[in-house]
Amino acid sequence: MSRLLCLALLLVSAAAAEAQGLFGQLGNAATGALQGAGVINQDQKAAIDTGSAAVAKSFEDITPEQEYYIGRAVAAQLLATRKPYDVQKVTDYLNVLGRALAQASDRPETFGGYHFLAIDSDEINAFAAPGGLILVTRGLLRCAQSEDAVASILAHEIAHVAKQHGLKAIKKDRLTKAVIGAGTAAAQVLGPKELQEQTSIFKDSVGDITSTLVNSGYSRDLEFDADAAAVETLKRVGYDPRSLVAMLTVMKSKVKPGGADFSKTHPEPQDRIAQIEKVLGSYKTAAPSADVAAARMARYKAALGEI
Amino acid sequence: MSKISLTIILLCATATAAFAAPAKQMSVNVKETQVRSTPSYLGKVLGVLAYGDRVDVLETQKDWSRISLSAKKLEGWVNNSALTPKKVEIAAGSQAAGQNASTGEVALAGKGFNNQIETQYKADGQLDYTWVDKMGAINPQPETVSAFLSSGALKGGAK
Repeated sequence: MSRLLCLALLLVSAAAAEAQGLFGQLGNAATGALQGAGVINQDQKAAIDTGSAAVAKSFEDITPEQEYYIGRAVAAQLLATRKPYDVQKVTDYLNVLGRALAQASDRPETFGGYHFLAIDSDEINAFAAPGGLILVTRGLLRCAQSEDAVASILAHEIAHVAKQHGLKAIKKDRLTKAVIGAGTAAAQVLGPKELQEQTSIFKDSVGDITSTLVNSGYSRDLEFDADAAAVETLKRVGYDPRSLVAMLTVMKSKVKPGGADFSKTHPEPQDRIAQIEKVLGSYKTAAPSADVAAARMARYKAALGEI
Repeated sequence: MSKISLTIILLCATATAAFAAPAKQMSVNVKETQVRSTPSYLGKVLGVLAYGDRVDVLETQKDWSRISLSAKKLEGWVNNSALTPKKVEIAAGSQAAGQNASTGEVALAGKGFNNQIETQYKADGQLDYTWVDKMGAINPQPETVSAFLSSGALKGGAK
């Protein structure tokens, strides 16, 4: 019996940790089977089902379309106090490279797609608004010394989008209200009162995300999670995932502790490097041929040489 | 067969049944998505599907589904991240989905932070969306991305 109990616990915990949403669908059948097998009793089954349903409600019910509108508002807030670095060759390069990376991520397509913009600031920072609007400062781009390194920055931000880390910053009670409120207002123009209520929930949700991106930062676990996903994406495309370590090493030397930028919202670079090394293990990228390396360097310099 | 191993088999079967068995029909869950000749972003673009298009799923390979949509005479591969098993209902009288879908006309299982909310939010906060719209309009051509990958000796990024 103990072997079976272990298996059951493994199944339950793995599902809960891995797939908050999936477990919402799987939950009833799986817990039913566990109950049927006498592993858990009726009360335990009910508790697990209720818990997983609540989780599913908060994430599954934000549709990609809603995520898109939330992300646009977050980007608008960020851009209200940040000036775009409007140089065509920079924008083009970031978007082609970014698209190539997004296609290799765990979520290649979002409602409005992934789009990238450089910000005219010496600060070392980057922001990923839900749905895929990604802002990167000139200061951060200057830390990169190769195409692979720029790719590592973008892959990390894409991971935040793909894993919906931004949406997780929305306070749970708001989400529930938004979900319930929105359900009553389907497919029709909202009346003034409902419109005001919905807009207020929307505003607060956007505020939760923006203040997390700018002030408090994500949890260390989410940052490590994004780094691990970035490593995977870089490997899939054929970039050197160790370029992420190289980036962080440069950032470590440039970031001022206690500053208002990246250092305020991210774990220490050396802590991230240690975690990334664990993920990388003995992984080695086959070095590109001299021609290829030169071609990548040439286009990187042409686009970002004067950043 | 012992009771334990039978239970384990049953558990596995339950889990498999829950994950497998792809739905026969799926809906497009993004503004628009490209249908390709092969299950890869390097595949030739055969056509475009719009938000809410309901497609028949003929087969699935890893992260791609081969779909057909007779109304558009399209058959080819679409990345699963652009599809949902839910039915995306677009209310009668709405414009075609996508950028113009607006003012609560789009009901995805009846939900919405939508264009109407965005308009109100923008007005309340006197927010400028110029660059948000500009960003959204940046769309590198698939051939440009493929050429970029190829000249950098990079892979098509197959997951």
